[in-house]
Amino acid sequence: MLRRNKELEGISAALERVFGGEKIEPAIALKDSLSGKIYHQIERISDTFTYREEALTRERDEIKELVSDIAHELRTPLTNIETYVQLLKDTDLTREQQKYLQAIMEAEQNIQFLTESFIKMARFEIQLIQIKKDSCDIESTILKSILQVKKKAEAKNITIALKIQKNDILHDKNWLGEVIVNLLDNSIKYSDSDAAIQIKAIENNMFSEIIVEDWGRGILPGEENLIFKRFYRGKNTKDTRGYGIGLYLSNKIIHLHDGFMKVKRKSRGMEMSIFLPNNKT
Amino acid sequence: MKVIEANHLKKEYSTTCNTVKALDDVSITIQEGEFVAIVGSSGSGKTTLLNILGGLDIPTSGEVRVRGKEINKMNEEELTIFRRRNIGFVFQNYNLVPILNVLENVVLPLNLDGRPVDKKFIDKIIESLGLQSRLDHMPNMLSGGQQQRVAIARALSTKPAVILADEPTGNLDSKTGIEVIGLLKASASLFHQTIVIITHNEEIAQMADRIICIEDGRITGDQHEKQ
Amino acid sequence: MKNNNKAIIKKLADESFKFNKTRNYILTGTIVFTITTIICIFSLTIGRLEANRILYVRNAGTAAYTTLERATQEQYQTIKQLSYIKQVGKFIKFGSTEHFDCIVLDHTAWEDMQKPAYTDIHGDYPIKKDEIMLSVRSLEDLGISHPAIGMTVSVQLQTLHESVITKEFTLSGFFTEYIDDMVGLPSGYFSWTALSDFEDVEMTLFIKQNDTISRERIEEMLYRDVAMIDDTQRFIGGNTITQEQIYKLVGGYDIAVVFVVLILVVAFLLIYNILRISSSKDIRQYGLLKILGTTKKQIKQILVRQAIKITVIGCSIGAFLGSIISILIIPSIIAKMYLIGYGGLENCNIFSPFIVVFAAVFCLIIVYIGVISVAGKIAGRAPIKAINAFEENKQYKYSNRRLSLRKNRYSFRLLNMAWRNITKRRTQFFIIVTSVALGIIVSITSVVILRGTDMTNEIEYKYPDFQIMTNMTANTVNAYQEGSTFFDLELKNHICEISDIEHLSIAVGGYGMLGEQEDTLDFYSDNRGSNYFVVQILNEQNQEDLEQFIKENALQVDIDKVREGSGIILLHYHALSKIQEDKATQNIGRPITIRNMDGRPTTEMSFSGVIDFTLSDFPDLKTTWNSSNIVYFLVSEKGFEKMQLTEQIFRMDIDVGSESEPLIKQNMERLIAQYNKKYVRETQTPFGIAVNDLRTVSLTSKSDILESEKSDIEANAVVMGAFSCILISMGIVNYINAIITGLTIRKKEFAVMESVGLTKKQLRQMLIMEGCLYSFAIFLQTIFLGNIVWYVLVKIIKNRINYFKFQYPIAPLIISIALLFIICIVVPLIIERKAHKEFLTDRLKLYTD
Repeated sequence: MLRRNKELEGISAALERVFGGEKIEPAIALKDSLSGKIYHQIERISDTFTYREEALTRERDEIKELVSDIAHELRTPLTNIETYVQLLKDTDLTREQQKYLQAIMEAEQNIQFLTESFIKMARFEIQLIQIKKDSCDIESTILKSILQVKKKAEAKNITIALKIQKNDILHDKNWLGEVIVNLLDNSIKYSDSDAAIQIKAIENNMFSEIIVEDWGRGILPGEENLIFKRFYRGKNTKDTRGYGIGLYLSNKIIHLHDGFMKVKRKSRGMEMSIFLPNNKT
Repeated sequence: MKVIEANHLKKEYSTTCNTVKALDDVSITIQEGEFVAIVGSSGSGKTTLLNILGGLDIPTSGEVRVRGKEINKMNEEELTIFRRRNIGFVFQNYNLVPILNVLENVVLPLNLDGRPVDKKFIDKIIESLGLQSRLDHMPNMLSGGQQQRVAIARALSTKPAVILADEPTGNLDSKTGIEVIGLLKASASLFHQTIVIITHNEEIAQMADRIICIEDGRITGDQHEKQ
Repeated sequence: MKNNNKAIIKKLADESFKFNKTRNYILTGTIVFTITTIICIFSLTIGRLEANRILYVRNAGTAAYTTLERATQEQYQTIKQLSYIKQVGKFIKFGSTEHFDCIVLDHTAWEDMQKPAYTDIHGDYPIKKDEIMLSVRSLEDLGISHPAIGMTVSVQLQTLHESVITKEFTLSGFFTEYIDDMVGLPSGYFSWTALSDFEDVEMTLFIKQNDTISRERIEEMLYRDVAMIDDTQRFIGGNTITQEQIYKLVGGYDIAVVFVVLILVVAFLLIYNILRISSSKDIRQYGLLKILGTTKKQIKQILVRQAIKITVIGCSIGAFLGSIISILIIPSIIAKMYLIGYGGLENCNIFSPFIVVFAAVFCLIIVYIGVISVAGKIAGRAPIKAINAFEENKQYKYSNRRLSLRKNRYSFRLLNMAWRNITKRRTQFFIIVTSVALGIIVSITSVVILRGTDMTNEIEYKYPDFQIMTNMTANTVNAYQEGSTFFDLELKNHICEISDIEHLSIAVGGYGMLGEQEDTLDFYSDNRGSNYFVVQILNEQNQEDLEQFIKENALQVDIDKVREGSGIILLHYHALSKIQEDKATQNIGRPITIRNMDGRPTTEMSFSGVIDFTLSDFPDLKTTWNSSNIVYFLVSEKGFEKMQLTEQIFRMDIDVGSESEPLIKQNMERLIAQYNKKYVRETQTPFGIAVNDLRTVSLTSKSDILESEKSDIEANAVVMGAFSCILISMGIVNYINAIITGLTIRKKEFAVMESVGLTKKQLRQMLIMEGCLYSFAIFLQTIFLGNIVWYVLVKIIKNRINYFKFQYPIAPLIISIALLFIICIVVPLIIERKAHKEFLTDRLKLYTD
């Protein structure tokens, strides 16, 4: 009776492990008993899982290749278009022709932007993107991101202030940088000239928070949870260019950091917060 | 996959004075992995709805399916065990069993089911919630907020398919509340869990993927995901 | 195959046990209390019964119930086989001495019949031919005041055919006995082997029948199953002592059973209530557990585990305590109260391990039932309702507030709230009220019964204030001539003149003679002590009662002839065997020649039948001396005239006004003493002053009888008091616990009310009002149920015990109600004072976990 119980407990434990994603290879599966048979069946289920996972990985790899190929393929003609457009620019053109060229240039840039975004998103969607939490220096990451948008900010005479109260936040340098770029980009895009943007990094009980605060157009009430959706465009973005992809991806990236994002509306503008788990030291 | 499906729920109470319609023909569907916030004023029926979805209360009419199983047709024992294995609960008040300490409270549902405790996982949850130093404290030694966090840890410990929370941030200050909900979100996305919370706090509600408004027992607003 | 989740259940049970220390103490205390009280109640009752039994046995000199004289060995064998006979022993008389009868007993007769009637037994029953065992009194009579085993005793005995033998015997043992020496000689015992020297012996069989067989029944059954050797051999049946005692105590076995059941019910309610109330505190916790996935069965296991721990501890302590009390304390109380002068505690078997085990098992069962049903209720509650158990349903609260705001009168609002608070939990209210009321009713009923069956009532019923009776009997009247009277008319007139006489009855009749050979009475010829008879006149009332009695018992008696004046009835003192009775019936209608005291025939009367004076419902007839060898006739007034005998006054029964009784008693005693002086010849005998002349009269005052039984009466009162105190305490404990727990649960409710403006004073007032309402409800319930119970009970008992006196228990009722009101006011105030020591905010917080 007792032995039976032990056997069943063993089976339950094994199943738990399979559920957790572990691979099991119980030696007992070779025994000629009922529990042996069950273990064997568990092993087969485990194998099926593994097989399917591997199949998925293979598919993913294939898609990875496909995406790479598409990217590659697309880039070539796009680069061509750009080259020739530049060439055209350098030639003499009538006013009307210049207008047309401008339109083509814009369209091309849109396509490029879209393509890059789509590729990024695709890669992200199929989890090509791996988050490697390799840096603890948030300040440098933020500074790098600020550098990337410096031109755009200066164009509108927007000042960016940085206040680091906590620096020691574990994160993936590249991807977090991307997220911050995205946030800064949005803030700049939807702020007026001579506006200010503030970046803070503080520590809370359970998470560390990076806040990007602006005094721009902000969002409408009720939109707070919608803006993170894939193709959502806020009602206040009517006349600016954007494709509503950035926040969705940013949210996903932060999720992979075991963190989350949150937006808080203000009477003027808004606060975008990135929450990342506190370092356990 | 539809993890929660409720059709034409009606719940009526008769008191000595009159009949109260807590829920008046409510139907909702929640997909796996969604984070849903239910908002409404006091007495709107939101708690009743949550209780019914979690099998804690029986609708006067209508059906509820969780993970495809009709829970209003189950008998008591089946329902209890179903809850134990599939749903995690967080309440606003009275969450913890007063005779067990924090750690025991957190792993209680696992113990009830006789499941082995994944130490690493539990440790991780406890650390994320900042409870490491209080593992052997009794509930009456904790503040309201700390008790809430223990309840959340418990809700997460069984990695249930569904987490139902009734005003889980009621006793927390706003910052902690945000963090706690964030933690739920993080865990949910990691384990592909579905979360349904009731809140009257707008800021908290807006952290959800989808907000459902309920008033006078009827659904007055529902943001479906735009695909 | 069960799931491997036992560990958590054990843990939850153990932690819950540790957490609820107060509850554990209360529960354990209650169990200990219940077991101890059950044991004490039973021990007290058994003690009382046992004391009575011992008194009876020692007084009677034997523990046997029924006897058969002149028995044969065959009869012995037959009787031994009978299924309804417990034991039968041989009591063989082979001679007598001046101071004792010479008896040989078989093993059963010694061990089971005689030994229990003696105390301080030294040595053993004789085995050798020359051994003898005597009572201390007999030894004293022989001049031996310090008996010792082995000493020589010289005995001069007279055998059954009158030869005298003197012999020396060795004392093998001695004992103390308590027989009234007026009844007969004590027994001296010899060994079985001594019998070989004697041919002529008389064997009487001592018989003990099963406990439930009455006196009349056993005679019937024995006559049916055993052949008699001749017409006159008869069984003399007696009530088994137990039946008699229980009958006298409560009116019969069935009432006793009902009472026992009621007591157990009260005990059950007590424990059940406490279980229910103490686990209601944990309803929220179990609701939460259920939500988290604990099944009903698991919750039951948790509760049962804890209950077992508590019960085992409680039962052990209770059994131990109860045993100690019933071994050490109760016997000594009983002995002190009843058995002084009767040898004390020896052979006194009060402690019965059976009762201890029964009480413990009973409590176990109650707790188990209680826990299971409580667990079922807890586990069965919709968990969401359970968790919100102490939160008000918001809607309900709203309507409450609206209603209460309407009343503007200050105290009205409080009373309203108090009322609503109580009736909110209807079932609990009803159960508590009924169980406390039941406890009170049971306890008061015990008072009613014990008071009603009290010996005082028996004495009051049986005896008149004063009874003056002639000392002359039919067997001693032979020394006198016709025409003599033995109760002066003058005396009678004196007595009648005494003022304030409420009731007076005079029994009259006469003495006469029968011929040597009276065929009609030949069935009685062996019994007759002399040729003289006594005849009593039946007045109208007597005749009616007798006629009724004859009808009810379907006796073969020709009462009409008696009425006419020609019939005469023989009233015998249980002196006839069945055969003799049958013969008597056959002789009905035959003539009897009546002679006066000088022997001259006066008339012929028609024999109308026999009646046994000792039959249990024989009507009230004030008779003069009767015994099994006296011829006692009954006639009507007309019949006596016919008999032409000198009218005698036999006895006067007088009842006076209670206030003048003491004075009248003095006068009466003087009067009688004066009268008796005329005839008294006082002689000093070792036993006191003997009044030899039988022409004197005896005065028996009821107050003297009451006085002599005083200690017994007092003892009974003490026992009854203890009994009802114990029972009432059960009800009170129940009540107190209900109040305390109820208040503790509502601590938060009060805190909330206080935080919205209820002052301390108002809270106190409200609590007092609630308590008073509760007590009032209990009072009403007690009166309502109680009256029903008492009405029915009294009717039943009065049927069986005719001297039962029902006194409406006003005093006990008032006391219990007063107690209730005091408790319901004091306890909440105490609790409230304790609660107010904590700060309001703390109290609010405490229950928002």
